[in-house]
Amino acid sequence: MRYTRPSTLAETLADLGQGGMALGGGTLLLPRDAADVGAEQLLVDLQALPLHDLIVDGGFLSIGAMVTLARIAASPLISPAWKALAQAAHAVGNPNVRRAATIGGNVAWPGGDLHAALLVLDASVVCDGGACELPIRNIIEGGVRGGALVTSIRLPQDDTRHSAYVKFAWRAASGKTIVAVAASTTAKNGAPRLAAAGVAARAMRLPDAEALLAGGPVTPEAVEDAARAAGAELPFEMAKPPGEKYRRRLVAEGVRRLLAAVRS
Amino acid sequence: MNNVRIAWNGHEVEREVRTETTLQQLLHDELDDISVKAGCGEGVCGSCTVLLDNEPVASCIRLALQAAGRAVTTAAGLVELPDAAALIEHLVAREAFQCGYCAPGFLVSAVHALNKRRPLSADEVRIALSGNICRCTGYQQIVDAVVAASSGEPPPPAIHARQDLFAKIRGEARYATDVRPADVLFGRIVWSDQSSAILCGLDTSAASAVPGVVAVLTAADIPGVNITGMQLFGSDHPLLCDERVRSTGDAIAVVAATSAAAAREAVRRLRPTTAPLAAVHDFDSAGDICSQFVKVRGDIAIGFAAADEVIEDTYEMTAGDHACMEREAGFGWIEGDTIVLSVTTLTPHLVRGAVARVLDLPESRVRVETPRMGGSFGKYLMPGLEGYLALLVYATRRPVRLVLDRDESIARSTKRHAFRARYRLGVKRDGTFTALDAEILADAGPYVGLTPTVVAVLADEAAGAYDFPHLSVRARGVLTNNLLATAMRGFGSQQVAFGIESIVEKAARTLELDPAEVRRRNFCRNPENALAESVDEVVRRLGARPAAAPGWLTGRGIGSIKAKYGYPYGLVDSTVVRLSVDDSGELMVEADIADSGTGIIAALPRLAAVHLGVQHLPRYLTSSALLDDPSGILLTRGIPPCTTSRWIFRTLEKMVIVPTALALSLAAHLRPRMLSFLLRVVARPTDVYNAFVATIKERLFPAGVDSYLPRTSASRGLAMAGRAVCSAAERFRAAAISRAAVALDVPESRLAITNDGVYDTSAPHRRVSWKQLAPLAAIGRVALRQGGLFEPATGNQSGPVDHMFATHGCDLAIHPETGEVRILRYVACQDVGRALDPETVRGQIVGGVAMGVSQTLYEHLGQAGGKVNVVGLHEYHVVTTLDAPWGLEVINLETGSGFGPSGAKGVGEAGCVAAPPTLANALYDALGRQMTHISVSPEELTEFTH
Repeated sequence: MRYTRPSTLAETLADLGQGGMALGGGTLLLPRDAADVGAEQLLVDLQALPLHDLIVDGGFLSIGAMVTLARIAASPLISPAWKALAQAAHAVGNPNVRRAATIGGNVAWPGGDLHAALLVLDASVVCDGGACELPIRNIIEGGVRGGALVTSIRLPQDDTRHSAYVKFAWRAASGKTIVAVAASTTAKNGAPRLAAAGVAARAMRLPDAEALLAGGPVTPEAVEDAARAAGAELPFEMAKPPGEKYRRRLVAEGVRRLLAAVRS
Repeated sequence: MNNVRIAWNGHEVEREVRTETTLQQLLHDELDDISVKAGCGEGVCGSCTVLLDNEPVASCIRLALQAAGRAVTTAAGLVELPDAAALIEHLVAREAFQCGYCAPGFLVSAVHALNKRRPLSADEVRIALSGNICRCTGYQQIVDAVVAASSGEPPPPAIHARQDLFAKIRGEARYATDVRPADVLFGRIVWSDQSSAILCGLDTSAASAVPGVVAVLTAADIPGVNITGMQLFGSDHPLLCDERVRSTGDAIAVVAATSAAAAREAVRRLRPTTAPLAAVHDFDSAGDICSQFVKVRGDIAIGFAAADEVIEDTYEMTAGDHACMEREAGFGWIEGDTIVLSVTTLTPHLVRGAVARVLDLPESRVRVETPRMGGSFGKYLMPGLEGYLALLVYATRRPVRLVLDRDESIARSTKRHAFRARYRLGVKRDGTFTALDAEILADAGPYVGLTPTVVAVLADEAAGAYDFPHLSVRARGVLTNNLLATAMRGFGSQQVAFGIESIVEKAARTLELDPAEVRRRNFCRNPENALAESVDEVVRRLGARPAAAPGWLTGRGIGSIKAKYGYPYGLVDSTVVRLSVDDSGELMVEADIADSGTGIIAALPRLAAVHLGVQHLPRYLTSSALLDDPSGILLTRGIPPCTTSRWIFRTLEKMVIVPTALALSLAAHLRPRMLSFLLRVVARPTDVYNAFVATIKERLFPAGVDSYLPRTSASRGLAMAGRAVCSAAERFRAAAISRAAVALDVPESRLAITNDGVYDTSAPHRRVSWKQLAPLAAIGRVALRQGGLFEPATGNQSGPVDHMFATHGCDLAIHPETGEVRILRYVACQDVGRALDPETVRGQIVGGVAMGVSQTLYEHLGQAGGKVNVVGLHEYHVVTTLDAPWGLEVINLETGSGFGPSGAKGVGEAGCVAAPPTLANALYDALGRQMTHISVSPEELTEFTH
């Protein structure tokens, strides 16, 4: 492998354009995989780029692609509105991993642990320093275009929003996500928004469950109906255990817990 | 190659590295900073934690180049800071670590947490340390120490602090993965893809052609015999398969190359041609029995006729991995005409013999060094990697490093025996047991290994902590195409305790009786024990049932165990300890026990100090004289034995082992009734014969230790070696006083021992220092040989000389939708005999319980079709600080009834033996249905709630 650490976006994009592989925290590139990467592969280390800012500006929370999950989990800027994101970041791996893993890398990765939270928070993904901005859903479904670079994530500010995230794994630290569910509510649009990962191949919104909660008060009965709908509505596309029935149960239970949390 | 410059512990260093070199490799391999370990290579275990610009990161998943231009601080660079020094005092005083492999990584994370904020709550510490995994301790003492240090309180007094822990926590202790001869080759093993196949051909040319590859070796390259493993009961385990592969743990070739990448590439290019054969994975249907033991008392027909209810069920425990934090590892090199191996092993003498046979060398040309082990838990009782390593060193004449990747270790290396047992238990309406019938199977994997000894334990302990007037047990080990099974903490006791405690629980619940009461009513009375007290104490401590959180189910379970320690099992178990003073006046304790972390290497010097009456701790040394010469002549006389003595010793050994091995292999093929009859006839003369040979051997070689057996390890360590220390101390004291009496010209009765030597009690200024008394040495030996080969009445091997008795209890909550389990309360009450080192005892029990919890609820090997489906430590879920049971209450009953020093008993394994049934019984209580297999996943638990 070859290595470069560019300090400007232009150099970076040029390197990526020639087939370079972006290197954020490097937590997805395990040593045993690194040893198998071809000798000609170029690694483009992004740490010298100015992508480390986490700021609230112009009605958006803007998070540079190189901001670590540990910073997101602990940042005082992350108000209750964006709590789902902080919780999702905190649920990844363990403290050592969170101090290395970056939001950009996690978003660009097809199985990104933050996807469900970003979906309910209306996030958008800024690529190539502002050359384009896409809704998170496009990135989740289509991935990042070859040669492009995620440079920041933007979340619209809404002080009436409450959000929450829950992850199920076999263990509390260093647990691979089995199912993750995120929810958010706003005063403007009273119906909670819900998303789940771990049943379909990618994180997806839960429109059936959301519809059952729209328009009426979020009563315990409505929550139960929504939870059941949430458990049933996604296509099952996971190859590895655990099985479908269990994953669907977790989605339903996640919805129950989150709705209890965002209501209180 | 790229240039990288970092500030490493304050020093600017510059090195050339490959792009794929990790920061851990730069620090550990290039800069020889051995405080940066590598447990997983996945960022999960945290053994490699370092500060990067003052933030802890896992250096194994960080490229060295990513750290270029930044400050890197490792444990070795932290230890002199006042915060770290104070924390280390707290950690050592609490004996917070055992094997210590994970300790430097914990230190880095903990010091960072202490610098950020203090005081810290236990929960904050647990979160801060959740990126560090410890397999030994259960974390409790670690977290206690960090919390105490954060509040600035002084460390508790430690009279005889465990010296090894200072070196381990500071990252100065050298493990096998830290031994690094210069200019080393990288070894790799080529494993079989198939679990059962004919090996038709093996083309090595493509692999040999990879640039940097120095050797590609197959069975044809073995100069001696192609056998490895525990060769006590069978020589069926080839080092490298040449015609037939029997499991995915079989090796077919080994390679050595100048870089890890080249070795990997060579392995990839080595494709054998195979013809698959039918494979046996379900051990129930396996027909190939490799060992069988039978235990019969009374007549079960009578017992069942007297019963009001007959309770039946089948219980199963899956295979599991030891998950030692240090991966299986070794370095080998050549010194003159000798092959030197620095390897993780509990049995260096067995390794040496096996390697000598593989290479067709005299044993004197093989030396085995045992640095500290990063965990063992039984894994290293049986020779493993050493033969591959030795073969590569021998063929290349160069230093070779062979370290398994974590995913290799989990997918290929030895495992705990999977277990399945069908029980029928006869019980009267009042809860009195009348009969037990048990059919027990253990999965040996493809080779006999040490399965017969495990199967003997399964048979011997099938009745658990209870008396059955009528008993019939048949335990068998079966050969399959799964991974090879080996010793693991509990060594049979763990599996069989889960079985018997489950059927007992089912009986109590079927009859709607109190499970504690049913246990009390049926506890065995012989030997006298504290089981009843332990149950009472656990029930009392658990008190009122906790309230369930909304939506959660709660359950309470107890488990009582009787598990062996100190077991000759038809052979002879002996330990020799030497106590000496050298020319510098330093006292030393030597034994053949290598340090796997249990605390025994600290306990022995403590005992020696107490028994001699000195304050300073003697130093502990793993005796190379004992390891190099089993006859004990080198140890006692300081000269190696002559050829004749060596021959006589080996012949006497064989005279015992040959009939034993024959009988054991014969036993596997006989029907129980015939076996029982035959042994009744054969066993008595065998007893007499064995006792006769052993007596001669002990006369001729008083410090001899059988070379074909594992050395003293496991829970019997303190009992055996501790007693040997006491006896050595008596002799040492007598010798010192008699020598001093001559020197001072006073009667011996007026002399006493002090820290510095021997003095005259009536004129204390008259003294002889240890230095003046040197050289002075005494040997202590403890040998167990009980009743020869088999119990004539039952056909079973002789049982142990003593048992561990314990009851555990827990309250837990389970969520019916998710299967999440929370342990609300856990009480462990054990008869420890005498708690000589209370922190050591606590560490063993808490660590054992954490391991048992992990094995029951978290660790799922997912073995299917002979292949392990989980990858690495991120999928094999050893519990973290956030999962391990918290606030464990440990109650030591001190009956003084053990056969160790001052009546101490073994403790090391009981925690992990009692925890699985305790949890299973609590789940039964919560769910109203019984779990018949463990480990059990949350997914499976939800099947019970729906």
